[in-house]
Amino acid sequence: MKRLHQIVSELLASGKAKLVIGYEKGTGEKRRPAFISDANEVERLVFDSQCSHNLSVYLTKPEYKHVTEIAVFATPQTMRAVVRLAGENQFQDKKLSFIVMDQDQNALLIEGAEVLANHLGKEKIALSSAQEELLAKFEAMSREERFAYWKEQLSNCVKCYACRAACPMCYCTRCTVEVNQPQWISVPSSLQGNFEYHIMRAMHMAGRCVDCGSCEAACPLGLPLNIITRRMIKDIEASLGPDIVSMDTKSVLNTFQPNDKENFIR
Amino acid sequence: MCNSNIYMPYPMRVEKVTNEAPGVKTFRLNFINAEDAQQFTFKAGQFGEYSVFGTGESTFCIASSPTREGYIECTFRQSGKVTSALTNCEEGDTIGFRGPYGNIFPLDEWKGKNLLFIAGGIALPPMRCVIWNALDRRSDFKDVTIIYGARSVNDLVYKHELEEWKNRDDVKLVVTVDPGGETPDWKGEVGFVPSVVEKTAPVAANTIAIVCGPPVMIKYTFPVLEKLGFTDDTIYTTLENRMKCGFGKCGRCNVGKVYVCKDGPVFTYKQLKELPDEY
Amino acid sequence: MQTENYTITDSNLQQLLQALLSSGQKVVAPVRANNKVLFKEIKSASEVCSDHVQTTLSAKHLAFPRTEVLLQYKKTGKEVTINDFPFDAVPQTFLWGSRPCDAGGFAPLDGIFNWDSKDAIYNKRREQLTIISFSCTRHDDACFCTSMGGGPGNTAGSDMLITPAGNGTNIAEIITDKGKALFENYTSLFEEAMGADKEQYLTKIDKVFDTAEIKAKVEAFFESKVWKEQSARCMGCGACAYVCPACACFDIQDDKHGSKGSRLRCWDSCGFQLFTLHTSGHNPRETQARRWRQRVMHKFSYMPDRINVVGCSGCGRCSRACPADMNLAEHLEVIMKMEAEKI
Ligand SMILES: Cc1cc2nc3c(=O)[nH]c(=O)nc-3n(C[C@H](O)[C@H](O)[C@H](O)COP(=O)(O)OP(=O)(O)OC[C@H]3O[C@@H](n4cnc5c(N)ncnc54)[C@H](O)[C@@H]3O)c2cc1C
Ligand code: SF4
Ligand code: SF4
Ligand code: SF4
Ligand code: FES
Repeated sequence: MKRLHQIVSELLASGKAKLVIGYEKGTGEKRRPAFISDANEVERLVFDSQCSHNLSVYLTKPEYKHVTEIAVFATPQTMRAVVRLAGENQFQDKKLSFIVMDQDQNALLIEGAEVLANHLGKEKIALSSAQEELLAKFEAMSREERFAYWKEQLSNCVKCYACRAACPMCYCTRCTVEVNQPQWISVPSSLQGNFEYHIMRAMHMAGRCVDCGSCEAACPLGLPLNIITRRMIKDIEASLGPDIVSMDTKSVLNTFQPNDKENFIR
Repeated sequence: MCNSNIYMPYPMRVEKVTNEAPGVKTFRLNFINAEDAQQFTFKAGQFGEYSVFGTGESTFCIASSPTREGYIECTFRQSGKVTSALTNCEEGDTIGFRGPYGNIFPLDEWKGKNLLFIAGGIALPPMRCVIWNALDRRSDFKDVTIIYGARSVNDLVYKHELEEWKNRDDVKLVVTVDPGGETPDWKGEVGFVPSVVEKTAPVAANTIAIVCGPPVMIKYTFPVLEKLGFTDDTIYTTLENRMKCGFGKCGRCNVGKVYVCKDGPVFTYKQLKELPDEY
Repeated sequence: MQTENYTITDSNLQQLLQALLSSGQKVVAPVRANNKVLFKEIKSASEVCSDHVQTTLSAKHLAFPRTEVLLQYKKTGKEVTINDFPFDAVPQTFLWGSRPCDAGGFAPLDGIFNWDSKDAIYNKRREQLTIISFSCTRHDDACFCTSMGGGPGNTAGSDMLITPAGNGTNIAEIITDKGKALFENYTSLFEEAMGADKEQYLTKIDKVFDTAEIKAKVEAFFESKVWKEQSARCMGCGACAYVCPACACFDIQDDKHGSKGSRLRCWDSCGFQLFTLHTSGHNPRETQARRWRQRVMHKFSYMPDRINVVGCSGCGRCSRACPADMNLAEHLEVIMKMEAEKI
C-alpha cells in the first residue's frame, strides 16, 4: 500500500490529478469507490483483489465531466472500459492517469489512455468455469425453454436501472428510457416493458460491452444479465471476428463516420 | 369521498379551443356529467391534472375565474408529451380533469388594498383567474394595475382580454414586449418586465403584488419590488414544480418541508425565502 | 386491542400455514430466487425460506404494487368510458414470515397515503392484508431497526408476531383484530402462554442513534458539504428506493392498447435525475448530492414534521442493495458525530 499511497500523493501534489477515484474499505469485507482530492486522505485508499467496481463509470457522470485531471484505479475490467470509452472519444478534454496492479501486486502508474491500451494488450478476459457452465447451460436450452427462462427472470426486474447506472458504456446524456416522445420504453415495470428495456440495452451494448460484469453485479435482484451480454459477444465474434478492445479497432456494429450519407445519425 | 378513487378524473368535453399564440391554446371545458358540474367548486390559484386518455396527465392551473360557473378553462403551451396530445385535441373531444388542488390567492385578505399583477410569458393563466376574480368583485379593491410582458407581440396571450382590460377605466394595463419583439405598429412598452415595473413605479403602500412568470423574470422582479418598498409578505407568486398526484403523495413536488401541491402553488416571497433553493 | 400471548409449536405453525393454503387463501412468503430471497405468492408451505436475514425487496408491493392499474378507459369516437379501480377484486392476502421492520415499514406508507386525502386503493389493499411476522434471531451489519424506534421483536404493524423460542416452540402474540380473527379460526393450534420473556430469544442490535437527534442534525447540516462527500459514489439508480419498505414516491403513466388502455401508478425514485426535471429543462435538484440530501431529509426530517412518522424502519435493505455500497446507517452516524464548525 505504501507505493500506492506514494503514487497518489505525488499525483495530487503535482496537480496531475485533481481528483483520485480509488477504493476504500466498505461495509464488512466489501471495498467501495473512494473519491479523494486532498493528499491528507490518501491513507484511506486500498487496492487489492477485493476491489471490483468498474470505476470508469464515474468518468462520464455529469458530476465529474468537468474535472479534467483525474486518476483512476483500474482493474483489468476497468482498463477495457477505459480503452473502449477512449475509442468512442469520451475523454477528449481529459488528462487521465491510471493506477494498476502488476502481476506482483505492485501499484503501477500509467499516464494516458493510449499507454493504458498498450499495457492492456489484446488479451481477452477468460470466463470463470462457473460462468462458462452457466452459459453452456443456457445454450443447451430450447427456444421455448429460453423464453420461459427470461420470462421468469425478467418478471423480477423492478426497473431500478442500477444495471444501467453501473455500466461504464451507458453514458448517453439522454438515454432511450428517458425519451418520452416517442415513448420507446414504457416507464412502469411490467413483463413486456422489462423485455423492451433489456432488448434495447442489449442492442445498444452489441459490440460495445466490455464484459466487465458491472450490470449483473449491480442488480439488486441478482438477474443473470451477463448471459445476455456474453451471448451477444459470442454471436458477434462468430460472424464478425474477434471482439478486441483497443482504441483503433472500431466496434463491430457501430462504425460512425462523420461523412455518413445518412443524416439521421448526426 | 373517503371511499372513492382519488385518481378518477371528471370526463370533460372540449367546448372551445382558442389559439392564443404560437404553440399556446386555451380550452374551455364542460363537465360531461351534470352532477360533477353541480358539486364542483374551486378558488383562484388552484390547479388540476388534465389528461389525454392513453397519453397521460399534465398539471395546469385553472385559468378561468371561479365567479364564472359551469365550465373551467386552461391555457397551456405545447412543450412535451401530454401538451402535444392536448394540442391535437379538437372541439367535442373528451379529456379528463381532476382537481381542484392546492391553496389559493387570499383575495378576502386583500380587501381594501391596491392590486398589482405582474405576469410574464405564458404565466398569465394563473394570473388571469385571479384578475377576473378580482374584477368581478371590483369594489372590494382600490387600484388595479396589470403589467404583462411577453417575448414578442406574437407571444402575447389573451389578446381579447388585454383589449378589454385596456378599455376599462378601473384598470391600469401596461403591456410590454422584450426588445426586438415589437412590430412596427406596436404601441405598448418595449423592455423586460423588471425594468418596466421599475419605470411604472407602482406605490407600495397598501398594495399587494402578484408576480408570475419564468424563473428569471421572477428573480429580477422581486428585488425591484423590494426597492420600491414592497415588503416580502406583500409579494405573492406561484411555483411550478414537477407534479404527478396533486395531493401530497407522489413526493415529486416536495421542497424542504413544503409540498408545493398542497401548501402551494401560491407562496409569498417571505415563504420562498425560507425554502431551500430547490424550485 | 390488548396484545394476547400464546404458545405455538413448530409443527402447528406449519399446520396453520398449510391450513391457510388449503382453504385457498392468498399467502405471500419469503422464497429463494437467484440467490436472493423475495416475497412471493406460495402454493405450498415447503416453498418458504426461513434461513435468511432479510428479503431483497420489502413487502410494500402488497399495498403499493410496483405497477398498478388506477383506472381503465375505453374510447368510442369522441366519447370515453372510464372504469373505476375494481375495489371488490382485491383479494384477502396473508403476509407470512415478514420481519418486524417490514411490518413497521407500513407506518410511513399509511401516513403518506392518508395524510390529507385518503388513497382508497392503497387502503383497500392494506385492509385486505394480514401480517404474520417472525421476530429476528439473527441480524447483519446493515440492520439498525433499534435506532429507528423498532427492534427485532417489535410488534408495531404486525397482526400476529411469532418469536421462535427454541425446542420446537414459539411465542405467538396476537396484536390486532385481524390477528385475533386469524387466531380464532385456528384456536386449537395454539396453547396457553408459557410465560417466558421473548427478549432472551431475540438478536441484540445496539441502538446507535435516536430519530429525534438525527432530525435535529440533518436539519442543522442542510448546507453542509457532507451530502456531496457522501454521494460522491452514488450512481443515481433507483435501487435504494425500490427495495425500501418506506419509499412511496411514484409516477403516473398511461398505457394504451388501441382504443383501450389504463392509467398506471408505478414506483419512482427521488434519486433519478428525471424525477424533478421541469419540462423547460430546469432541474431544481440538478446534482446527485442534492438528490441524496433529499432522500435523507425526506425520511428523517420532512416526514416526521409533516406526518409524524420517520420514513425508515432501519431494515438496511438500501445498504445491502446499493451497488456503490452507500451504507445508510454509517452515513447517519457520520452526520450524528459532526460538529457545527465542520460544515
Ligand atoms: C401548479 C402548476 C401549474 C401549471 N400551470 C400551467 C399552465 O397553466 N399552463 C402551462 O402551459 N403549463 C403549466 N404548468 C407546467 C406544466 O405542468 C408542464 O409544462 C406540463 O406538465 C408539461 O407536460 P408534458 O406532458 O407536455 O411534458 P413532458 O415533459 O413530456 O412530460 C410528460 C410526462 O412524462 C414524464 N416524462 C417527462 N420526461 C420523460 C421521459 N424522458 N421519460 C419518461 N417520462 C417522462 C413526465 O413526468 C410527465 O408525466 C404548470 C405546472 C404546475 C406545477
Ligand atoms: S438492475 Fe436488475 S432490477 Fe434493476 S433494472 Fe437492471 S435488471 Fe432490472
Ligand atoms: S444510493 Fe446506491 S442504490 Fe441509491 S441511488 Fe445511489 S447508487 Fe443507487
Ligand atoms: S431507508 Fe433503507 S434502512 Fe430505512 S427502511 Fe428504507 S431500505 Fe430500510
Ligand atoms: S404532486 Fe404529488 S406530492 Fe405534490
